[in-house]
Amino acid sequence: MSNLKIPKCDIEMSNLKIYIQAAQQISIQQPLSESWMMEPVFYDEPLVKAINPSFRDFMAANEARRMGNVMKRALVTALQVLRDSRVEHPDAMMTGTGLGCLDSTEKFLNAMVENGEQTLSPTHFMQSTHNTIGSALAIYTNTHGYNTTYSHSSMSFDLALLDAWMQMKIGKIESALVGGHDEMVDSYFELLKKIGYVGAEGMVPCGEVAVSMMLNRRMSSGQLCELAGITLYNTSSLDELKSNVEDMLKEAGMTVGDISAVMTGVNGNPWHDHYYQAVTNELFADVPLLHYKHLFGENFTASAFGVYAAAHCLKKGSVPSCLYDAGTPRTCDTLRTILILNQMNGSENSLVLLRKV
Amino acid sequence: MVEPIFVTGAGIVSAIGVGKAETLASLKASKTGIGPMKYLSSIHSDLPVGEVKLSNAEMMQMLNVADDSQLSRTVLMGRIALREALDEARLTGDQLRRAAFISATTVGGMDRRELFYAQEKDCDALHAAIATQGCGSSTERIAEPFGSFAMLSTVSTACSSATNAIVTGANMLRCGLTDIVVVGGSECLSMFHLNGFNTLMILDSQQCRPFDRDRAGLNLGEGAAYLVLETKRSVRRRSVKPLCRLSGYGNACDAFHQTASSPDGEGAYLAMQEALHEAGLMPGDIQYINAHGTGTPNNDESESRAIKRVFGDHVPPVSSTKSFTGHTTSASGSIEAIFCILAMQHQFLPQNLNWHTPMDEGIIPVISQQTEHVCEASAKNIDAPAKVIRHILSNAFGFGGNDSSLVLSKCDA
Amino acid sequence: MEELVLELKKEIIEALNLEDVTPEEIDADAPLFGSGLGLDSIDALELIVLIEKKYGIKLKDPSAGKAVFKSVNVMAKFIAENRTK
Repeated sequence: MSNLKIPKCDIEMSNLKIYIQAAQQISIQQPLSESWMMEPVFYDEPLVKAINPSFRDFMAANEARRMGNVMKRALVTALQVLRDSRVEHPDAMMTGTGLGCLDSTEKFLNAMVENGEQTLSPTHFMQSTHNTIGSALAIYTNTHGYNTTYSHSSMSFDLALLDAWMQMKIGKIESALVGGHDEMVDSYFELLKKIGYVGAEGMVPCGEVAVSMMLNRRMSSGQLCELAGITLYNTSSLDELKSNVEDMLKEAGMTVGDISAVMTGVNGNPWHDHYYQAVTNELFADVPLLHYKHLFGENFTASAFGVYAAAHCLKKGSVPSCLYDAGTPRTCDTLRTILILNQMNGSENSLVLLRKV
Repeated sequence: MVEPIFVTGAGIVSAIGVGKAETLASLKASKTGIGPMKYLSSIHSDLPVGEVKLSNAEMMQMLNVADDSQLSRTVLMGRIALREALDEARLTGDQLRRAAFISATTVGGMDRRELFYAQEKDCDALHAAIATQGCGSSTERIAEPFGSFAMLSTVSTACSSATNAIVTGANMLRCGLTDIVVVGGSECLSMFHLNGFNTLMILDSQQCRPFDRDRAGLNLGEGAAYLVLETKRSVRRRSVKPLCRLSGYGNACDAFHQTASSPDGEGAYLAMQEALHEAGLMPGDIQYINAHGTGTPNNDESESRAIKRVFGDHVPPVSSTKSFTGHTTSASGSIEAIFCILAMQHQFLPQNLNWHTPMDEGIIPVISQQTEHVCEASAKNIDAPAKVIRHILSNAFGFGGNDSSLVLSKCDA
Repeated sequence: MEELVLELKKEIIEALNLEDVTPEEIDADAPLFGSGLGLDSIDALELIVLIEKKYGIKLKDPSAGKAVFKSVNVMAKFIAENRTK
């Protein structure tokens, strides 16, 4: 039956902090592990597929037979996070995905055109709607709470995170499973390469994404960090962005001076990176600079890796050398907070503020 | 006390009209927009569909846009609907800077991609750009001509997408992130999802028959609709006149199957319960339910069960308007919300067209517009005819069990 | 018929991605749905696509599938009688 709590506007709860309790990933680094911190793997290829764990360890073949890779990875990271956080049924599930089950979509589209719209696979179609990943998580874990999917290019994960944050702030939910998931197929990679999104000279590889994290208003031992703030804002004005940063920090009881490190989504493409450089030069000139896409690759929900990596650094209390940007003015003395910047098209911005607990 | 949320603008385009006036006329005249396929090119042209009665070229003319084969029909319809909503709410230029835009779609630019797919393999950068227009870029392109919003977002939860865009927007207002949000969705017909639904064998070869014993499936439709939602403070500050209130909303997951609803309609039941609870209302306070009512054997059975679980022996008048427009998928939540607003403003019940025979244990839908005159069949479902429509419940249930409901109320109710 | 039954088992395994199942493990008389292989409504649709694609039989009514897909043997008999490919 249902495990849905009747929501209420709980003022007491809305004053509580929000924690990232657990976070897991499957990517082009070792899956379900933070070994990338000490032993990062670097690639030369422009497209690198994720390293899969043994899916059999998590689900029976019969359960997984209809699932493509992106769905299996999403499920495994989610199951691991549920285990880590000891939350059986989160109040909500928010998923971000840029392209959903791309493999299924491409197969269906291709067959449709080749077969003249005849004898097409219902399974491929069923998996081509972007919310199929978030739904699979709910079906598998029998979770009836709030469930939604955002598909807004490189802001997909950030929007999912913002949703969880908002609902916690107004006291509607206590716990939320938030994820960012994307895969890549060769033919679609070729298209993205033509428009310069991936595959350009000097760029990080195009990777694949599976990140799940548990947000919770309740403290627990083993939690990674506090989600101290998140703002999404559409502007190409540095002044407006600065003012958004200051507002967010103020609400968290902080100033720019309290930021221990800034993490950006630079990906080696100068047309893309110069936006970040303008921001960091202007607003965070003396703040240690980190990046993560050189380890995890570029893809629409890659920003999830930024939050994941930063959360684990804060838990650890230090930043591994592999995360420092070559242009960093210095390294971190004391790690208390990390501000993660994600931007898209030079105008859509996401600011995520994490704080050590 | 939960801050009230007001609807101050609404814009719509669907098979039954461009704009609210035409839409209202069709609803009151019980005039369906479902008919033979005219604009979409598919081998399955014998399937009845609910197309917007404008070609892409005609829409471009309406929007003063130069003829451009790159522009997705999703974007064109979206812009037409958005323009009407923003005009009504008098939300332009500087004021837009404060507002968030949350749009819903699943098809996105797929209508363009599938058209040119045969040449995709060795295409140039321009073609690649068309082919990779995802959900997010549709939202950006819909918003582009109107100015710069404070934030953009795209929700994609299949058939409940637009309702969930409304839910997210409402949460943003309650959280205080902004005072104004523009929410809704746009979805055009595409060969991709027409074939997809066809392969699931849930399309009817005739006009759909929601809640009818002999129903055989849904008809696909297309359209776009947007609402402007504002806080009380914003309404006062801008001196705008609200159309109604968004008094409650709910989102729950059926968690049963990717394409079928559970027999007892658990997700639907939870979503409706939550919406009522948020609105501070009892089931008896609802005067009309705009059902999801796709006309598939599965949905109508499951939804009937869920409605009865919530309302018991006192089910208010229910109808599905998908027999007017077809199933407009990602846009259905906002399109049907506007039908509800029109129903409340003009005090009539949208009919459930093409209904003839009651389902076993199903709800018996409204087949008369008058709130005072209740036909014999639907008399079983309600205690006493409602004279004034004050509160309406609107359902949207998506693939994957993404179930959402809204309660819309008169401003003074 | 035996050849068709074996061929059908292989086709079913492939179409439904039954990775861990071998043709020998499928009892040709056992029900395909409900128990045993644990197939569901989506699988039924995939089987409808399979018999059209491979054997040229078009099933217009999804509920007719219930009778046709009762077991591998029943399926094979139906295909032998109605195939156009």
